[in-house]
Amino acid sequence: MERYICKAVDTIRSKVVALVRRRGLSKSLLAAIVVIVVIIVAAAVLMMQGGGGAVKEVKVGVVLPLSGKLAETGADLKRGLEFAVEEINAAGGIKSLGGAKIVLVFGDSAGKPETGAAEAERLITEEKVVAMLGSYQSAVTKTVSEVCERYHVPMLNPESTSPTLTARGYKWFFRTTPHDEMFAKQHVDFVNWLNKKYGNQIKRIAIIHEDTEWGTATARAWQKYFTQAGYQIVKVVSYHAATITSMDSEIDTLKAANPDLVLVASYVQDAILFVQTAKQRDFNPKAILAQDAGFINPSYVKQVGKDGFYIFSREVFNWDLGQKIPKLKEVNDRYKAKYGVDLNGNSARDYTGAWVLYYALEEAGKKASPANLEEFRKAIRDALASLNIPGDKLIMPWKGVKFDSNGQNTLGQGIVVQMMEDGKYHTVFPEEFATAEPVFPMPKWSERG
Amino acid sequence: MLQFIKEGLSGRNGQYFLIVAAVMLVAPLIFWKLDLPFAANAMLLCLMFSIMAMAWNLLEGYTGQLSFGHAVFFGVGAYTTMILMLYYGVTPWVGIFAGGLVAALVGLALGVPLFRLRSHWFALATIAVGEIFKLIFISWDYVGGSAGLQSPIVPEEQKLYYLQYAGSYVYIYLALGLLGLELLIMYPLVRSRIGYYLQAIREDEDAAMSLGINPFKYKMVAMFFSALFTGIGGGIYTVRFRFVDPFAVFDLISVSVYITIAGILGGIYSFVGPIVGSFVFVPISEYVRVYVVSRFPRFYGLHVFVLGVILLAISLLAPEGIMGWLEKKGYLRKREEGGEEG
Amino acid sequence: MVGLDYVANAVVSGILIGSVYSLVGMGLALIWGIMDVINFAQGDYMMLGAFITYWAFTLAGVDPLLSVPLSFLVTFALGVLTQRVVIERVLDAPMVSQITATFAVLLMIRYGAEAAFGPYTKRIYVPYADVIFRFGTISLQLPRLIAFFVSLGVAVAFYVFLKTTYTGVALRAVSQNRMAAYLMGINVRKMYWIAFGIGVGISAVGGTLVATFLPIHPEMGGFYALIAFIVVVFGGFGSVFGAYISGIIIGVTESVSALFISPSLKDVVAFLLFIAIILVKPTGLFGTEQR
Repeated sequence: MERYICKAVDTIRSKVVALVRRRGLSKSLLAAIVVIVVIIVAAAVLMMQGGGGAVKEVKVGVVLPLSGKLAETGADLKRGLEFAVEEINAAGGIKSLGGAKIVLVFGDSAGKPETGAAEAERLITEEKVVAMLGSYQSAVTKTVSEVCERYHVPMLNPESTSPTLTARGYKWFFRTTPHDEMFAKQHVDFVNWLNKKYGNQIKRIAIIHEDTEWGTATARAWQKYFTQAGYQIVKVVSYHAATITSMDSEIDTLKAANPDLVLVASYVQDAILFVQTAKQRDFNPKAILAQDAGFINPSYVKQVGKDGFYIFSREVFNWDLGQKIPKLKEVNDRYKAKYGVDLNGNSARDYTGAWVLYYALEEAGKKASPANLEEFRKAIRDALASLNIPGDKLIMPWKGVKFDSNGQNTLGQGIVVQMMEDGKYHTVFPEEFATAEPVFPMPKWSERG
Repeated sequence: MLQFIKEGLSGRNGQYFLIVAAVMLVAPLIFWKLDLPFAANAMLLCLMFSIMAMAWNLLEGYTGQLSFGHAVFFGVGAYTTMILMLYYGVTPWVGIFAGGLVAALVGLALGVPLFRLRSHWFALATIAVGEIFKLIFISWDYVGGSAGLQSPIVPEEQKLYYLQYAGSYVYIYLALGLLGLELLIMYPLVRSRIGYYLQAIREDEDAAMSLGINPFKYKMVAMFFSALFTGIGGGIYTVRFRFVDPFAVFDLISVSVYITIAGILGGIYSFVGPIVGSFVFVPISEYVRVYVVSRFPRFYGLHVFVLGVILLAISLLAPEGIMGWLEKKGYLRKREEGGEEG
Repeated sequence: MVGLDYVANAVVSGILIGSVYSLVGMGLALIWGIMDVINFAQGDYMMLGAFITYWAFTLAGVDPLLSVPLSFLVTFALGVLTQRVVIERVLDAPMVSQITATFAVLLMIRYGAEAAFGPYTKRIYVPYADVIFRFGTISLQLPRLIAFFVSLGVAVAFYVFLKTTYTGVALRAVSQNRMAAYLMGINVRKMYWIAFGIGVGISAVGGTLVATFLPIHPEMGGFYALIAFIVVVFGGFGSVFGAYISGIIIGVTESVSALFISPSLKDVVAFLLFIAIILVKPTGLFGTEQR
């Protein structure tokens, strides 16, 4: 058959060449038509070669920042997902589908919203995935989930925290992690708790944040919930993290407002600069409470040294939680044996995300078959919407997983950690997960060793 | 205009044009039938960059004003289309052109101070302007600040009005149509007196002035059309991805510099050079990114490094670009007028 | 609300960071002044300087201050290489080729470094990083203070070099009139190598100094290059002395404006200043000629 095609193409080509040589408008039109015909024939031949197989596996698409500045994080998330899927498959796969294995198909967003969207389209239409996981950065998750919504593919997002994601009324989008507003509310709970414990020392609050969506949204939520709770916001300072070379003026503005508590939303470099400058300018609020990100990044922890002691940070996860959650210790031991590192907030959240999706796949398998892709995707969506997983099945410090009508898990929560003098973060809040007593107020710079 | 179309389509170059156009019209159908969204998306990006690189080249190739700030017009076009759609319910069929128009007005406003600068200074100032726009949009709440804007999914019956389709296939035809429109406007423009004035300004501004050409006036004309079509390119981005944020649309490297590389690679002294450049450059960059960088994420940055090598090679070995090189080697017939294309 | 003591500190901290901007700007001004070529990759040579320091410190424990000569010499060599392989060939080419050539160099250095070192933030911990001097309400970090004095020293040394040595005089001659210098028996080509080498070398010293008190990463050069352009335009075309002063002025502008307007807009102020200056006085504050 190939021989015939080649021959046909040759003949046509020679005719085209002849036509083009003779020039003339109408003939060139003819040539164009011939080219079109060739392409269509070739396409038709290619199409005939397609074929289907039996349902031995279920493909799940994942868009993550596998390259780019967040490649390190992307690799971490990928490990968490792969580890969970390995466990699921080893335990017999999706039983309601006769033990079908889950296969993850990855797409790289490079951290760009438009690239993420294009990759999601590829995974959905070319790879025919039944559901999607990912995509870490909220901007990328926005476009990826939009594509999923449009193609009617369920998307489970284990790790983006922008509140707007679940405020869009999407029907196919589910998020297991708490979002920034929930975290801000929890910050208020934590400060109330501190005040109760140590006699109302915190009244005046200042905020400093970097100016991307994450920092801005966090600051806005802080302002809203702390004002509601009766605290006085005395100063809000924002800065551009990518180009900051000195923070003296920013810290001085905060210092002039004389706050009891400073709330910080920073990435790594600016977090280090913040702590250093606070020390240099002898800025001594009673407490510093950060919104994870830079402050819990391993390179921050490694580089900040003793200047980082006593700073509070909100976290989703911490190494010492194993003492309080037996299942976590067990999973972490296996994870560490395999990859040589502990689970962290990112890998643990994605690990959990994969398991949640698995529970939904089990349910969906009872009602539909992946052979009918559309129906199966719908069944997964419905299963996710009615899912109710109790907290003891999870490795996260959550009360469980149950989605509201916007797809937000209502049972999730964060924790608050504090860096102690061993240079490690310890969980101090909520009390049921706490492994240490908080140090409050933090010692003045001049009183430290 | 008709005689320009006739003139453009006659001769051997006209035949090439028709064949290419036919292939372009059929290709998305094939991508769609075979489920090749990646290829389709790459083609759309090629077209988008063709539109913008061609617009950019009106300023650089014809007028001699090197801009590294076209992300400004791209971003303004994208944001205008989005804001009209989101806040005022204006269909992008109008919004894309409105976006182009607003970008063109921004271009004129920027032209007043910027065109007082020459050569290096102009190029430098455009970089600064691009950064300023990014920073302002980041802290401007009306346009969504750093979170950007996303348009909601509309019900089935409003699809056509809001131009919302899955995949890139429909948008390829949109981009083809807009590229066609651009050719229809640009071709007569550069062959008109204005086009020759612009080239005179490029060759020697003082000499042009001494011949009674007002360089400022004609630079502004070039700026208007250049910004107009770059803004339209931004509008295509908006309808295609339905999401804009300042980091993506005002990016120096992935918008301004990409446009520049596409234009220079194709050949700035050739009318269709930037289109050729886009269709060579965008697939290379996409291919390297998807098939090389994804495999070896450890070596992220390699794809841009490769672009650097390509750019260096062109500027040292073939500063006249692909089209210029082909003409020099005699694979393409030079235009009769010589000066403009050769 | 914001007291005068804070303004004093903002001025001092602006002077300290500004002295680093000055070094990057001086390098750019030298190359620009002598060859009439804008080196878009200037900030990336600075980044290389920072990374040379980082690796010398991490691998061999070399103190960043001792690696100043190292980082200067290595980038000097790279600069001469760049001049020979790239810049020389586009000196007489149209402007677009010049700009794209140096832009290509920028892409290759910046993203080559990203591929080689990884895109991550790195940091040097010098033993004296925590030493802080206090004068009333003004506080100074020792590494920033050292950076200021080293930068001042480099500027003075460079000034003396230009005024007293044969090479320095020859460089100035070439910059004033290439043809005349050539006729006087000066090896113009060699002078260009030296000019480019010194130009990027000085910026690399800036990178070394920055590495002692700020985290470094492969894309850091972009910001410093923009600052360097502002510095050069402000200080006047090709004026090395002007570049030094204007670097400090810009540092102070940034840090004082951060006190009074939103800090996230302080770069906007700098860029607007930049455009305003090239419009109002394209010769810069200290410049005399413009081509």
